[in-house]
Amino acid sequence: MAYLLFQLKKVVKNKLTPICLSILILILGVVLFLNLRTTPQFTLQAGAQKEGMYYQTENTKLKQNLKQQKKNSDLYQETEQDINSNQKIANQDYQIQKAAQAAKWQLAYTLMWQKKQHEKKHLENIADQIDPAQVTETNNKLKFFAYLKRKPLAYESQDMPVTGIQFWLHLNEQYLPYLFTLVALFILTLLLTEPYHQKLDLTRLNPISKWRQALTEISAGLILLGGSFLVINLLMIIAATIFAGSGNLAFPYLTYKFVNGRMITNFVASGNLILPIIVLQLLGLLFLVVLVRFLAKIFRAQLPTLLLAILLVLGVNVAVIAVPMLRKISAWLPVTYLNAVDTVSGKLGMLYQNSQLNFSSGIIVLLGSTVIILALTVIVEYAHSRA
Amino acid sequence: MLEVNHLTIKTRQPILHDFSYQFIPGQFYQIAAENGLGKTSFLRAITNLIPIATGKIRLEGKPYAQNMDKVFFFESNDWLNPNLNSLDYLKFIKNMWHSQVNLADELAFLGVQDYAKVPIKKYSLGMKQKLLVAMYFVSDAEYYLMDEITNGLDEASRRQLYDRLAQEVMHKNKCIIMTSHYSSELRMVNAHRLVLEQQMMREVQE
Repeated sequence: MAYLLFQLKKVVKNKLTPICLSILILILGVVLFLNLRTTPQFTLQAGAQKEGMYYQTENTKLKQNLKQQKKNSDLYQETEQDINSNQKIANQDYQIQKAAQAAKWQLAYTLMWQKKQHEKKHLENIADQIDPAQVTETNNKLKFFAYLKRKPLAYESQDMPVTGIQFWLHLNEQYLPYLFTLVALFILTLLLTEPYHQKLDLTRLNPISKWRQALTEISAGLILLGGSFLVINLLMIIAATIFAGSGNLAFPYLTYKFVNGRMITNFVASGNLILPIIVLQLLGLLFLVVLVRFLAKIFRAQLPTLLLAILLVLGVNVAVIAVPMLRKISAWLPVTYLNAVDTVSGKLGMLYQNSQLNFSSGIIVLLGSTVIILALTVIVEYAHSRA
Repeated sequence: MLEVNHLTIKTRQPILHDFSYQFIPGQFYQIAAENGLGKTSFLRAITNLIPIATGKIRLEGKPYAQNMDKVFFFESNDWLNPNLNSLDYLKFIKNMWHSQVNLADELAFLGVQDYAKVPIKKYSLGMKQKLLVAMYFVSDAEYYLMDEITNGLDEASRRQLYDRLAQEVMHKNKCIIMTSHYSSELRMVNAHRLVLEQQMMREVQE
């Protein structure tokens, strides 16, 4: 315990640690601020209002065109049909707007679902002229509103999330896998390269066994990363909750799944994703600790350890996105799973078109790599002692 | 007893050749040599920090790794973490070496208590060196391996240190191995003097 505390103090008392964490919190705070500022434009009411206004403007133009057309012509009748259709949509949008304003969510979602159903039929009729992504998008929206029709929860924007749970998911999907990993690698380098002076391993002077030494180093790393990660996440959830409410755990979240080689999308309660995400994140942090420890044992110096850790973790992560060949083996690369949200939701598998990329493979690969790196560390230590 | 048999140390160049000696508890040993001849490397070799070329080092009949809590070695104040303070180090050492000494007494010995909670980065050389001395006494280990420990200490502190070391040897049966630039630097009665030159270490009479 005394050794563990001593290790923790070395990093906690280093001013660079709170500075890095504060910068990270500040960046996330700015993200929340910007989301809060723009979220009024992404509510259900705002969407319906914008669409309604668009169709009204279109109708004004069409009505002017109508004046210049012959009454019995086909064009005249077509324009009239368009005006009626647009008016119908605009009326529907107005009803959605009213229902959402009055928090009559059941009605609002039923209307939205009907609208998307209509949109789907229309897209099916002109399927050969449009981008298939548009059809997928409409299908997803249809499933989204079908879910909300069954469970009429207050609307939470997923484009600009601000409610506690949705914002947490947003941060852990878009920002923390990269920003926190960078800070984590820095903190771990501070912790695990500190006992090396002139390449001498000063931990060898501590009167404890190698196993206890290893356990203490790994525990210290995990406590530091886990603690900072928890504090950052809690702070952000609390801040988002204060400004926009906590949100509902049952609010739908888009998930992807490969079934017989085909990608199937589905909406599940956001709360169902939280536990698997946390499990994967914890294993990801453990992997980072053992990886940096391994590099520290090899290089016995701060800068080479940090540089290689960044290249191996963030570099490979970026390389997987950029190099199509790497995507095929991405399921076997532990750094792929740093984005726990996208792994659990199946979005990563969809993006890389790799059906093996899922929560189960994440657990296996992260645990397996941790064990392999630990074994390699023992070999490196043995080689150093024999050198 | 710290027993060294046919010890040969080579780093980039040969340091020590075929050295055999017994360091006995209750005795004080001074190793003198010019700079760069390998005094520090010898202490590092004893504590497994650097590998030895040949020979055997036994501490109470066992390898050092099995008797680490009997030895305290902290080479220089460069090893201190500048963000920590004296109290952090002394508490850690007291716990790790299972020492029973009174921390307050040791803090008071060279006046470390005056800056015990100040971060080491704000210390002068003398303050760091006093902390180093306190770390040895707090460890209360049976063997002290001290590398030019008096560097940066003022005259009064040096005198205090030597008096204390003499007491530790006499009353606590400690074995103290101290390196220094010059054999004349040491002021201990009945000290064994070893000189390291041309890769050979031998005991010399005053």
